[in-house]
Amino acid sequence: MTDRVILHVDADAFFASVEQITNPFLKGKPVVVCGLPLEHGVVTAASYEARPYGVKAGMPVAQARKLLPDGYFVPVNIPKYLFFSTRLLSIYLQMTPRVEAYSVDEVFLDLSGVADPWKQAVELKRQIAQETGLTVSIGIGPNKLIAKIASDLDKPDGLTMVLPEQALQVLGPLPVERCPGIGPKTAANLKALGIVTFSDLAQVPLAKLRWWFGKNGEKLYWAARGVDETPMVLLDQLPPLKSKGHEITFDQPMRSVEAAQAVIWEISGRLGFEFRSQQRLAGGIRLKVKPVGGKAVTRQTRLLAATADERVIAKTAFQLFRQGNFTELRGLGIYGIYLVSSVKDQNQLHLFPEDIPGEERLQTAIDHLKQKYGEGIVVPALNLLSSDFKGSGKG
Amino acid sequence: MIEEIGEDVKVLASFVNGKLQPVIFKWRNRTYQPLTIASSWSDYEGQFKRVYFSVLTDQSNLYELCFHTRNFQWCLVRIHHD
Repeated sequence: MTDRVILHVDADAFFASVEQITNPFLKGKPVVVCGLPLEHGVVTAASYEARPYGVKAGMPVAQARKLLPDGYFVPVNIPKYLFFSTRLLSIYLQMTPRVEAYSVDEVFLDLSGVADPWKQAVELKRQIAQETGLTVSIGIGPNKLIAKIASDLDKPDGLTMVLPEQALQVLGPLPVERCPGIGPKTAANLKALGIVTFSDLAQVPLAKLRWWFGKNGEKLYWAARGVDETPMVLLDQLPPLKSKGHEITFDQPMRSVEAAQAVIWEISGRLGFEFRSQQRLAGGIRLKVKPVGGKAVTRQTRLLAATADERVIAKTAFQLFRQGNFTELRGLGIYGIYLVSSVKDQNQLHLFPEDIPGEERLQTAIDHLKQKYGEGIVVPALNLLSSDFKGSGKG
Repeated sequence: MIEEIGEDVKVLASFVNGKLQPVIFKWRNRTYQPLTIASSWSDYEGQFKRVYFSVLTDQSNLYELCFHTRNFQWCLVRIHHD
């Protein structure tokens, strides 16, 4: 395992940096990328110039505006970030086919067997800066865990290499929060037990960690020693999706059942189209409702037969919605769950086009229109009647 | 400050090394000559590509132009005032 050489490449403040590249007026200024709706959403990303003011991802926009009244607040633009993410990916793939896309702005590259990974990393940074204008921070290590921790040690625009024999020395004094997978809750639990650093964690016997944290205890035990044998998940080895859905957050609280129904149809239409395009079927439906001033509530049900039919998705989601006594909503989401491939589960193939049921023919025709002109070309009439909600999507 | 516009504009464009590039655009009867193309990116609406350009015409205004391959129409999406 010590022969492995893994690079973790993290695009620095990616969303905010893309905004600064595409708008030179924002260069060097505190940029806050906000989820929609702009005034009621949350901060999606903050540039390095905005961070000293305490602005960070996940914070309500209103709070960020108080901390940074002179900041530049820009709406999130996912297609633009995906364009730059794809450009980065094509640069990585020029270096090696062994690429794991960890997220939209992070990848792992497997450079095992490469003579001088440091030189390769320097060249990679130069090429990225030249072709995209972005900076990245790179960590090099004998496994994914150490590479990821290393990339975080020198940001932005950093390059850190941790050799196998240096791993314990480097990890030892670091706080346990630096370990991927240890969130604030686990860190707090560990702190309560007197475990603050990787060194502290390495002192705890495996049996004790198992007793405290169950299955995760074993992961913590090995992480403390810099051991990680997680394999690369290459681009053609992505695990099948288990669920897929979309959520909408409303500008104003939504009060009427009719408006909720319109939202349910809108999301269901999008989901049905995506499932059919990707040859997937949902074996169940999950509804997520966010009441005003309360925690999100989820309800789900299994379907008798897996489907990609938006009418079934919408009707099921609406039934779930009616089971709750929701009055004021700030958001709503629908997920298809227990996803299966429709290729395996195709019902019956029709020999002649006229044998295809009318509804199926209609749906196919609508799908063709959506594929050609975009999803907004056909919408349920219900959504044209309802003007009670304005919102922004996610997911 | 960002000003959302979303209006069709007339654009004189050139192809340089196989790449589309706006040269001059006319909006609300005024002609703007882009000095610098700060950046460009693209996305899709259905199967049709949309190409975006952020162009600087002076030191204080940045215009975001979009070329839609469905109808070969240009649109001024928004203006960023410094």
